[in-house]
Amino acid sequence: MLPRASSSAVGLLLVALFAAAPPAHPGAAHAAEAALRAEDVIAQARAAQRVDRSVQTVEMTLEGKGPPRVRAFELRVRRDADGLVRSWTRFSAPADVAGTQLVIVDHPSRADEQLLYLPALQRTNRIAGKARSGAFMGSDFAFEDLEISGAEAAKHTLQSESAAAWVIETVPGPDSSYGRLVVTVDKGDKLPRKVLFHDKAGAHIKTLTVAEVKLQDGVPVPVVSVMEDHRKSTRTRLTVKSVRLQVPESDVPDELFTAAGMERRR
Amino acid sequence: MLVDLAADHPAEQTVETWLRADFALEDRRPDTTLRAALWADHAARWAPGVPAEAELWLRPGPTGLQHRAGPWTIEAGHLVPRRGRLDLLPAADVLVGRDLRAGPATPLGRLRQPTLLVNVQRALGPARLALHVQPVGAMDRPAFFGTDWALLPPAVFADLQRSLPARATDPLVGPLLAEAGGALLAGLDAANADSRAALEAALLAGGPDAATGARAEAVAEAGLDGAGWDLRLRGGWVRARRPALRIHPALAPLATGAPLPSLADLPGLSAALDAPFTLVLPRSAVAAADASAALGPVGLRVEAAAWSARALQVQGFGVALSPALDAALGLDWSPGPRLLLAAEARVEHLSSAPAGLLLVAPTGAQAAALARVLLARERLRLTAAATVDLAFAEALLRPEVGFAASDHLDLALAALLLHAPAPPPRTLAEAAAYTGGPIGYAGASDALLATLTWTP
Repeated sequence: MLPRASSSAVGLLLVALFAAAPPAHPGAAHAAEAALRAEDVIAQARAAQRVDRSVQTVEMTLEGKGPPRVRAFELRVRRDADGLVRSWTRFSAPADVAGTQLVIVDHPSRADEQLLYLPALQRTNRIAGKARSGAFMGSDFAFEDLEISGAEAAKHTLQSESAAAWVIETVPGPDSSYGRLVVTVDKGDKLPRKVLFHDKAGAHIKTLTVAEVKLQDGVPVPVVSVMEDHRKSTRTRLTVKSVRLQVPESDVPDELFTAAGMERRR
Repeated sequence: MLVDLAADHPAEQTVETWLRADFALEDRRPDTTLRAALWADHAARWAPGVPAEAELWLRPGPTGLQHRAGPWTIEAGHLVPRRGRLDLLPAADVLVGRDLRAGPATPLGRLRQPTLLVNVQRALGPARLALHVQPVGAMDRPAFFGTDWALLPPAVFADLQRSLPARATDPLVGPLLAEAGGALLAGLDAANADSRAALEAALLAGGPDAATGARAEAVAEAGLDGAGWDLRLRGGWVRARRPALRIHPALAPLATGAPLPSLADLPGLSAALDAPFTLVLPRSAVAAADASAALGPVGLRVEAAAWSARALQVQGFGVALSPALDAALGLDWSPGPRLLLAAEARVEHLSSAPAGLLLVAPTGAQAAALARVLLARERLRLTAAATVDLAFAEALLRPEVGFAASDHLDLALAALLLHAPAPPPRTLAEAAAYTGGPIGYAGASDALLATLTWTP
């Protein structure tokens, strides 16, 4: 089947985990204090990762049973002031998906739009509906893992703190397939370094580890990240081969995120 | 590789293989993309007790350039001008010619053929305008003889060859005509793909109907992209896409089993013998539209096209022209990346269709469905596709299992199962008077398909 790729690479994804924090609940002093600190962490992480326009080339390697499988793609993301976030992905490898393009338009107030250009059929398809728990391109990342929005209903609690990192527990909204996430955020660069995914029964099912971070234009960018699925004993490695941040608008024009724009770039 | 499970006649090849090597180069820059491709095709056929046949031919694949300069985009080369949104039952894909010689065994991605074209487009915000020119024009390539999907399939050819001696009633010229006719038919039946293509092209170039007007085609296009929807309109002056084969009226009685000409008849048939067949591909104005939108969990695709002239095959291998109106609808539902359900339906109406059409109904309706499931980390795919022709009560089913052994190697096994109430024709007279549809005409051609794809 055809790729329904990411709306962001892992770095932006991790920010999405903290995209919106609920207001502190009045009357619970200790909880309010802890929640406020969690909000501080969230706010600092978002501020550190704020990127409005980016272009990245990414390589995703699927490891597990059988030979490794590699997917390579270019990702362009644009975030507008009104909260509209749009991403364009074009796969370059393997050969059977090379040329496939995916556009996701993340509206702040209504349903996402997804467009898929299929080189074998030479046409653009509108994708309606999605299963957030489904795997992206056969990898260990679920589509839910790669959404920009969807974190609106999450609740965050500061679990613990050390000299080097905060550990925050996030309970996603009811639409999520996860029961809770435990995220370790580095105090130095405010970048999440490890995420433990638990299912709704509480079992620890996946672990995301940011193995390598690079400073690009003052923004910490996860260069190598690994998602392990403990149920299937498989791993997916995401490697950012190149990244440009705050690129000119001409690199991410409005027309790029339309069916006509995709067909112009076939 | 295709294995025909039903041998129609003793000399039919029961195993056929097609091999395509696709050599492609691409230079992709920020505003310019250059492509060059070469297709090397090899076809071979085997049957018990019959010498194997094989042929190899080379031709250019999609080759050309695309350049973007601000709001302008220009495309030129030998490219595939795909339009529209439907895959199984298109109505608005009016620019492209399709290779129909392998019938339903042809993969969707190989159906559309490249053609010479120039396309100039200007974006105007969410809208765009374009002019599309095809200097030579595109044409569907149905099979006229040599395969089970041909207008004159092998069984009909074999019957014609067998019946010629009995129809040679004139003692002087009868045997000579029977022998010459038999040799001609045997040559056509045995002609390799290149020769058949050359013969069809010669028919097309030489026929008086095909010579009407210049061969260039031009279409103007307009498009608009909205939030969650898009709309495309196009109109132009082209040639009808599907050619029809016309037998010279003086020779038409031969199709119904009449005796071969006598010596006295021959001088009057000289014109007919100069051009016994012509391919009819008339000029036509065309207007088409296609649109897509997402309605909740369902994807919606619609197409429509109006033609001022479509060439229709008529019983007796004559040809008629009629305006035509096509409309089609597609629905998709994909609750996740591992499951896709799609359905398409199309209605075709011929407003001036004569009686006695061959393989087409004055008002036709078809429906198609496809289900695809991905398993085992998207290595294993299960696909089921079905097409139903409601006008003729015919159906075609194609289940398939595919396995991606690696990123470079893919294997697939499929079956083609055909159902039609009318049996296929076994003689030229039956073929000329056939009242069923195209699936029934191909008849006993249930087959197994095995496909292996290797990409470096």
